[in-house]
Amino acid sequence: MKKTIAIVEDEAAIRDNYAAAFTREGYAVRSHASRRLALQAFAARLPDLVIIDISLGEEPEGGYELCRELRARSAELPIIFLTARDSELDAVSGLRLGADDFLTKDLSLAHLLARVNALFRRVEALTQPADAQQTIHRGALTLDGGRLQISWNGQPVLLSLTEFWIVHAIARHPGHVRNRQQLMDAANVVLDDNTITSHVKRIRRKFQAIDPAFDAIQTVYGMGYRWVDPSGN
Amino acid sequence: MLIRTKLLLLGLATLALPWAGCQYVREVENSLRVAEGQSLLAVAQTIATSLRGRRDLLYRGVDGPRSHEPAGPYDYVPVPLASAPQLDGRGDDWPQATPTWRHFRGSHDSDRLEVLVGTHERHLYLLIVALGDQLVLDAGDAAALEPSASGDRVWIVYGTPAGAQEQMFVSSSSTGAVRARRIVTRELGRPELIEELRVQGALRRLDGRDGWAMELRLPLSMLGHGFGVLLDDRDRRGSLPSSYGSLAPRTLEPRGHLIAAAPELADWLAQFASPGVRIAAATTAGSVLAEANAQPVVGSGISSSQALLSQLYRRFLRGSTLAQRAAPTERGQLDPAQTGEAAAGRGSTALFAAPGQQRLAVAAAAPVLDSGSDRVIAVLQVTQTADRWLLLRDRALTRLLNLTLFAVAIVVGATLLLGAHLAVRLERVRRASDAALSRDGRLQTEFPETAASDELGDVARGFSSLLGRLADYTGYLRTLAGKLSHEIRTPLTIVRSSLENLESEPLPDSARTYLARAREGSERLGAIVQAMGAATRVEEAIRAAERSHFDFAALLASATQAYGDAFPQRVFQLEGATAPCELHGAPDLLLQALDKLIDNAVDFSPPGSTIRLRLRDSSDDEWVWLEVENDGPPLPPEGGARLFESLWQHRRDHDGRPHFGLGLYIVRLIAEFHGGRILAADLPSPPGGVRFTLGIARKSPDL
Repeated sequence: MKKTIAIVEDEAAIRDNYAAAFTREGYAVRSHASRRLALQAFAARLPDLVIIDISLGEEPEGGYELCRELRARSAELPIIFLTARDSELDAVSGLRLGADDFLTKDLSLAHLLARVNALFRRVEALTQPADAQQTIHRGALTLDGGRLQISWNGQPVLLSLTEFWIVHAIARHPGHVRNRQQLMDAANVVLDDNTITSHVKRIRRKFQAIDPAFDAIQTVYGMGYRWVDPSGN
Repeated sequence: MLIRTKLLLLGLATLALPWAGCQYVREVENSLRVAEGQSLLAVAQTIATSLRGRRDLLYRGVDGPRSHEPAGPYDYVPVPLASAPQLDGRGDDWPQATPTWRHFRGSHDSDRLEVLVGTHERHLYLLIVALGDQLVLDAGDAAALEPSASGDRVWIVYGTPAGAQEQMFVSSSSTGAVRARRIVTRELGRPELIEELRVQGALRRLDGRDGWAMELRLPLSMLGHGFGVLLDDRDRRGSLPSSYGSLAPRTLEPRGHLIAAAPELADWLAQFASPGVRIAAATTAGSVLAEANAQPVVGSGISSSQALLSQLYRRFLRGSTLAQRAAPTERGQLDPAQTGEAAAGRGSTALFAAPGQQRLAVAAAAPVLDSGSDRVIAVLQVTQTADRWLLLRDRALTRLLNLTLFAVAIVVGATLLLGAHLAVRLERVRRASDAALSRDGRLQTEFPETAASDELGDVARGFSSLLGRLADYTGYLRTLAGKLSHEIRTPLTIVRSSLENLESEPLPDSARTYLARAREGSERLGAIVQAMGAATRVEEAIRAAERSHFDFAALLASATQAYGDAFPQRVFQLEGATAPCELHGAPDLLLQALDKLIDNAVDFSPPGSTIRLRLRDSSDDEWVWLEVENDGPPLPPEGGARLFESLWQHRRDHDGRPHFGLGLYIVRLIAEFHGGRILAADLPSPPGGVRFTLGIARKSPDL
C-alpha cells in the first residue's frame, strides 16, 4: 500500500512540484493550500507523513498551529516543517511543537526525498527490535543507527532528524574534528554556518536537559566540532 | 562675527544709558537754575518793593537832588572795600580796577589829581594821588592860615547830615601822618581852625616818579550829601596855588556829591540775607551802594571720594545750556546789562561764571522805584551762588552714574553670560551634527538641546527628526537585502523544484544542456540570496546569542591554524596570544567576525603575503585589541567612515562571488554586541598595508 504524504503549502507552484516529485517516488500525495482545508481533509483520515509550510497564506505561523493540532491527534505522525526563513529555525526552538524535522526551502528535492524516506525508516524501525550492529556506544551515549534514535544514560534524547545526523557524524569518531561542511553533508542539508551553530547549540541543550553536566560536544574554533568522551574511551 | 562679540557690543551699547542720564541731569539742573532765577527775581522784587521810595535809606542826604541819576564827573561813588586800607600812603591795598577813580587836570599838563573813594564799615576812605607834582610841605609850626607857610593842601568840602556845609583842609609839614583842620567862620567872618581829630591820614611820596599819595579816613556819620575834593597845588611854599578838583576853585562850593547809601542800608539789607545769597543795592548806573553778603555754601555733604567721582562725572556735563556771562571784574559795579534792564524798569536774571572758577552764580536784579512815580532810583540785585545746585547735581549725578554703571555692568555681564551660554549650546549642536555620522558609520540620532523651548531647540529638533528619518532610511536600506533575500527565496524554490522535476522527465540532450544552465543559474541566484541575507541572519544570531566565558587567545590560535588550512596562498602569523585571555561573550560570533576580517584581508592582499594577527591584552586596559594587518592597497580615502556601513563596498576586482559590502558591517555588529568597536587605518608606507583593529570591552556590556 502506498504511503500517503500530505503537503500543506500556500504556494501552488511549490506544492505541485513537491507533489509531482513524491508521486514519482511512489507516494500518494495530498496537497492542501491552507490550514483550514488541511484540517478538513485530516478530519476524515490522517496521512502517513505531513510536510507543512510554516507561513500559510494569511497566517504567518499557521504551520505551527496545524502542527500542534496534528500532534494532539497523533503522537507518532511524522511532521516536517518547511520554511523560507532561516530565522524560523530558532523560533521553533528545538522543535518543541513536536515536528520531526525542520528544513529550509533551499533544500533540493533529492534531499527532501531522502529525509522523507529516512523518517519513514525511523517510524518503521521503532516497531522492530534494535539492530545491535547499527548501534554505537560512546560512554553514556547510545546511538541507534537503525531507529535513528539516541539515548544518554539510558534516557532517550528527542532529536530531529537533522540533529540526529549531526550527532551521529560527530560521535562516530570521537576526538576527530568534523567541520561544518562535513556536518552539512551528513545531515543532507545546505545550511550556513549560523544554522549549524544553532543546531549544535540546540543539541547541547537537549542533552543538558537530561544531564546538566553534559559537555561531550566541543567546539574547535575555526574548524568545527568533535566528540569528547568523558569516560576517556 | 561671533555671537559672543555681537552680544558684547549690544551690552556696550547700554553705555548710552549713563549718557542719557547725564543729559537728564543737565536738563534738571537747567530747569533748577531757571526756577532759582525766578525765585531770586521774586525775592529781589520783594526787597525792591519794600525799598520803594526809601531814598533816605538808599542815599545820604534826603534832599540830594540828583541822587537817583547817573553819577556825574564830580560825583563820588565809594567802592565797597573788602578790608580797611592801611593808612600809610600806599595805594596797593585798594582795588585797582574800578571806574570810580576821579581824574582832575591841573594847569600844567603833567599835573593830575586822582581821587578814589571807598567805604568800609562805618568809614569813608579817600586815596588821593597827585601825579607830576612836587610835594610842597607846610612850614612847621607856622600859623596855618598864613599863606606864606602853606604848602600843597587838600581841601575837602562836604555837606553834613543836617544839611550844613563844612570845609576842611588836610596838610602836613612832613610825610607820614597828616593833620586835618576844619575852618569855622566865627562872628564877623573871622575864620577859626579846629583840629578835626575824626579824620586820620598819611602822606607819602610816590616811588620812582614825581608825585605823592595821601590816604584819608573819615567817619561816614559826619558826611551828608554834597562832597568835593580840591588840591591847592603850590610850586613852592607860599606861592599862589593852582587849584583843581571837584570844588569850585573860588567858592570852594562842591560841584558833585557823595553818592553813598545811608549807613543803615547795609543793616537793612542784611535782614534779607541768607546763606549763599548776596544782596546788593546799587545806583541806576550800577555802582554798588551797599551789600549784604553772607558766607557762601561750600561743598558740604560731598565726601572726598564722592567729590572725586563727581569731578570725573562733571566732565560729562561740560557746558550748560543757560547763557553764562563773565562776572563783572570791577569791584563795586553790577553787570551793566543787568543794571540797564533794571534802570529801564525791568527785572532780569543772569548766570555768572567767575573766571577760572567752577563756581557759578545766578543773579536777579529788580528796579527800586521812587514813591509815587515810576522813576527808578536804584537797582536791587540778589545773587545766589550755584553751590546749592552743584551739590544737588553732583549728588544726583553720582548716584545716577553709580546706578547706571552698576546696571551697565549687570547688562554687559548678563549678555556675556547669555552669549557664552548660547555659544556653548551652539557648539554642542554643532559637535552633535558633526558626530551624527560616527566613524564606524553609525547614525547618531540622539541630539542635544531638543528639549529647549527656543529657536535653538527648534533647530535641534529639526536636526534630530531629520537624523531620525535618515536613520529610518538607512535602516530600511540595511534590512532591504534581508527582506529581498527572503522574498526571492520562494520564487527561487519554485524555479529549483521545477528544474529538478524537469530532470526526471524524458528530455532530448539539447534540452538537458539548457536545463543544466538553468540549474547553474539558480544555484548562483541561491548563493546571492544567501549572501544578501547574511547580515539579517547575523542580527538574528546576535539577538539569540548567549554569552559565555571563553579564552580568546585559544580561539585565535585554533582559528589561525584553520585559516592556514583554508587559505594556503597566505601565511598567517599570530602574535601576543601566548597567555590565556579570558573574555565573556559569544565566541561563535567573534569567530564569525574574525572570518569576515580574514576574508577581507585575503581578498585585498596579494597571494603569498603574510596576514598578521596581533592580540594586545594588557590588564590595565579595559579593552582587548585584536589587530589584523594585510599588505593590501590603502583604504579608499572617502570610505573611512563608510567602510563599516551596510551595503558599502569598495572592490575593484570581481572574483565571481557575490559581495554586498556586508562583511565589515557584520564585523561591526558583532563588535558592538561585545561593547566594542572596529577601526581601520592605513599602515605607514613603506611597506604600507591596512590594519583593522577590533576592540572588545573586557567587561561585557551586559554585566
